[in-house]
Amino acid sequence: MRGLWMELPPFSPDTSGFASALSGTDGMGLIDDVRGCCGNYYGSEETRRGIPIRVFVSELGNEDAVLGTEGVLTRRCRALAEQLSPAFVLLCGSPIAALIGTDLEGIAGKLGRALGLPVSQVDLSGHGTYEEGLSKTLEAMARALSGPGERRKETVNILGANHLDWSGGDMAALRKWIADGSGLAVSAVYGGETTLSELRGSGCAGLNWVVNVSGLRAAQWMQERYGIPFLRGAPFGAAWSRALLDQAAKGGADWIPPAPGTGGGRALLIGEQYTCDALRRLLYENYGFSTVQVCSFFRMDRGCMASGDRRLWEEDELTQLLGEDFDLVIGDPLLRRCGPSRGRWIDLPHIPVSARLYDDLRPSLLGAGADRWLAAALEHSDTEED
Amino acid sequence: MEGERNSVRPVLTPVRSQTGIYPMLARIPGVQLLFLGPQACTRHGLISTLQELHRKMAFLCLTETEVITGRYLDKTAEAAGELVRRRKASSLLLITCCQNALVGTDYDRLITRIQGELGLPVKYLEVNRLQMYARRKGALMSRPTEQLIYDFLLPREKSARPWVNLIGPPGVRGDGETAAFLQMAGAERVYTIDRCGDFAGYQDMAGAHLNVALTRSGEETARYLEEKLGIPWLPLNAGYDEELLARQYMDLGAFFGCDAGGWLRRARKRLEKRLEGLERTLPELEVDGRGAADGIALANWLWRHGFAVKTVWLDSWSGREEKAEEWLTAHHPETALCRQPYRPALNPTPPNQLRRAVQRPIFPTGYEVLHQAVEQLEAMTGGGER
Repeated sequence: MRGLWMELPPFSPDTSGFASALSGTDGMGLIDDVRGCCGNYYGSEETRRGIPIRVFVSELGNEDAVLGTEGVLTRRCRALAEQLSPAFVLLCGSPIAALIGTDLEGIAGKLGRALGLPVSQVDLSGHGTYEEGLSKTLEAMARALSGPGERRKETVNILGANHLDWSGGDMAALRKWIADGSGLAVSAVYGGETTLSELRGSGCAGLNWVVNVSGLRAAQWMQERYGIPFLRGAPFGAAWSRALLDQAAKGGADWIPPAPGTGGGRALLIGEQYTCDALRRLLYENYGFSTVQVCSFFRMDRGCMASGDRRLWEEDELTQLLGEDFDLVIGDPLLRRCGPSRGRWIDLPHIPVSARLYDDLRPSLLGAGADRWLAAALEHSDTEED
Repeated sequence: MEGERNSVRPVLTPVRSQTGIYPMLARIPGVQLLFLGPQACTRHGLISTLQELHRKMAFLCLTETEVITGRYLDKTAEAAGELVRRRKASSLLLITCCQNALVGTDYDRLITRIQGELGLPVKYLEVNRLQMYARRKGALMSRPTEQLIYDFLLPREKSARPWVNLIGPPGVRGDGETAAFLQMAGAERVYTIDRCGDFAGYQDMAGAHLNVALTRSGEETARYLEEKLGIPWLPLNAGYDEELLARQYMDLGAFFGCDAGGWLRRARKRLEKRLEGLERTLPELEVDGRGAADGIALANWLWRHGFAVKTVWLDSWSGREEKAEEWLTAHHPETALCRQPYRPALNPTPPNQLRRAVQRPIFPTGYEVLHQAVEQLEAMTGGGER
C-alpha cells in the first residue's frame, strides 16, 4: 500500500534536504514550523560533528496557526539574524505553514528589505522526501544568490554533493580532487560547504557538474538563465570518474549510457541514482556483470536511466524485486528487512533511509575509492559465504 | 539565563523518566502503533524507531491531497486493516501529529469504524507540538501517554491475594527495591507492564489490589485507573526528596499493615555511608537536566549533601519544577540555570555501535534513584561502591 511503511522507516523529509543544503553555508535557514523538524535533522541525520547550527524553526504555537505565522517568523528571523549574522536567509514551509497557506514569498521580501540581506523562500511542505527539498533549495539558492557575469571557462560548479548521500570524507576531499584531476577551479559547491560570495560568482562558471540527482534542477535553471552547460554523473570509480573529469575539462558532454559486461551476472543497486549508476559501471567493467538494475525510492533523472531502472514507491515493490534472481544486491542495511535476497548483499548505508545509524560504515567512493570499496566488499561477502 | 558551558566540571544527570512516546506505548503487549502524518513528522524519534520498535510500529505518510480531500480517513482504515492482519495484532493505537490539530479529525468516530471492521480494541493519541513552547501549559498530547498504556485494561474481579501494579516508564524492575519491599510487606505478585507477557497477561493487571505511581505523571494514570477499575493507589515518586520518600514508603507499608521504619533506617544508613566524604573530593558540579524532569531537584539534593552545584542545564521549554527552583534560587542563587535549545550533548554522543544496539533502560525507584546519583559521583572519583 502506497504510503504505508511497515518494515522501513519513512525516508528523510524535504525539510531535511533543506537543512542539509544550508548547514554547510554561511547563510541561515528557517523552517516555518513547530519544533521537531530541526530536531529530526540535527538529532538523527546530521553527520558533521561540531558543525554550527544554521537551520532553525519559527516555533509556531496554536495562536500563530489561527492568526498567521508572519509575526512569529519575522521575530524569530530577526533575533537569529542578529545572533548569527548570516550572509543570506532562506525560509521554507512545513505541514502547518502549507495547510494554512502562509505567504512565505511575501514574508521573505519584507524580511530582505528589513534585514538588508538576500532573503528568499523554498516551496516545501514537509510532505516530500529529502531529495525534493534538497533540489528545490539548491535551485532557490541559484535563483536568489547567483548573478550573471562574464563566463570563466576554467571554473566549474559542483551541484548536489551533500552529506545525506555522500560520506564526510568524500565531501571534504571533493574540491581538491576535482581541481587536481581536471585543472578546473571550483566556483561553488551547491549542497556542501560554500559561501555567499562563491554562490554569487557561480553564475559565471564555465560548467555545472551535477554529481547527484538533487543538483539537476539548479543546473537546468542555470542553463536556461546563464547558458551554463552541465555534466551529469557521480565521480565514483576510477574509470568513470576519469571520464567525467576529462569531459569536465572539455566543457561537458551528454550522459553516456553504461556498457554491460559479458560475464552474465545480475545485480540490483538501490539508492541515490547517480551513485548507483557509477557503481553499475564498475560492476560492468571490473566484474563483467551483464545486467545491473538501478532502483531508488527517490526521484530519478529519466535522462540517466538505463533499461530496467525504475523508481520504487512501496515496500512491497522492493520485496517483490528482492525475490528475483539477483546474484548481488547493494543497498542500505535496513532494506534487507523487505525480504530475503537470493544473491549476496553488500551494505551501502544511506542517511535518508537509516539516518546516522550506520554512518561509520559509509564508504569513501570518490575516484578510485569505489573500486577499493567494492573489491573489499565483494571479497568479504565471498568469505561470508564460504 | 542563556550561556555556553565554559568549564570541565563533572556533570551529573538525573533519572530520565520520560522516554519517547513510541517506546512507552509499544510496551502494551500485542499492540501495533500506526503513526499518521506528513513525511516530516513521521521521522520523529527515528533512532529508537529503527531498532527498538521494528515490527511494533508502522507509519502512514499522508500526502497533502489526501489530507485536504479527506481521503486520508479511508486510507487510515485501510492501512490499519493491513497492519493488523500482517502483524496479527491484539490491539491498535493510532498516533497523529500537529497537522491534525488544524484538520480536526473526529478520531472517536474513526476508531469506532476501525474497531467494527477489525474486531479488536483501537485507541488513539493526538500529539500537538503547537502547544510546546516556553511555559505554555497546554496539553502536548490529547491524553497522558501513561494513561493510554493502561487504557486497554477491562474491569475484572480482584485477585484472591494482593497483587500490586507498578505504574511507571519502561525499565521499571519487577525485582528491584520497590518490588522487594512490597513483597516483604505482603504483596503476592508485583506486576509491571513489561513483564506481563501477552495481551491476556496484561489484562491480569486489572485484578490488582493496589497501583503504585512511580512518577508524578503516573499519579494521573493511577487516579484514572481507580475510577475505571476501582484499584486504589499510592505514590512512590519522591525522586530526590528524601523526607517525602520515607513518608511514601511508610504509607506503602501501612497499606499492607506493615511498619516500614526498620527497613527505612537501613536504607538511609546505606545511602549515607556511600555519600560519606564524596563532597570533599568533588567540590563543584554541574547537572545536565535536559530531557529529564528532576534536574533542579537533583541539584538541591546535592547542595543538601554538601556539594556545590554551579550550573543546571535545562531544556528551554522546561517549566515543571517551580517549587524546586524557588528553593534553589532562595538558598543558592549562585547556581546558574541555563536554558538553551539545540545544545549538543554535554556528554559525548554514543558511538554508532551503541546506537545500533537496542537500548534496554532501567528505571530506578525509591532509594535506587539516589544510589544512581551516588554511582555517578563515585565514578567521577574513580571509585566504585565502598
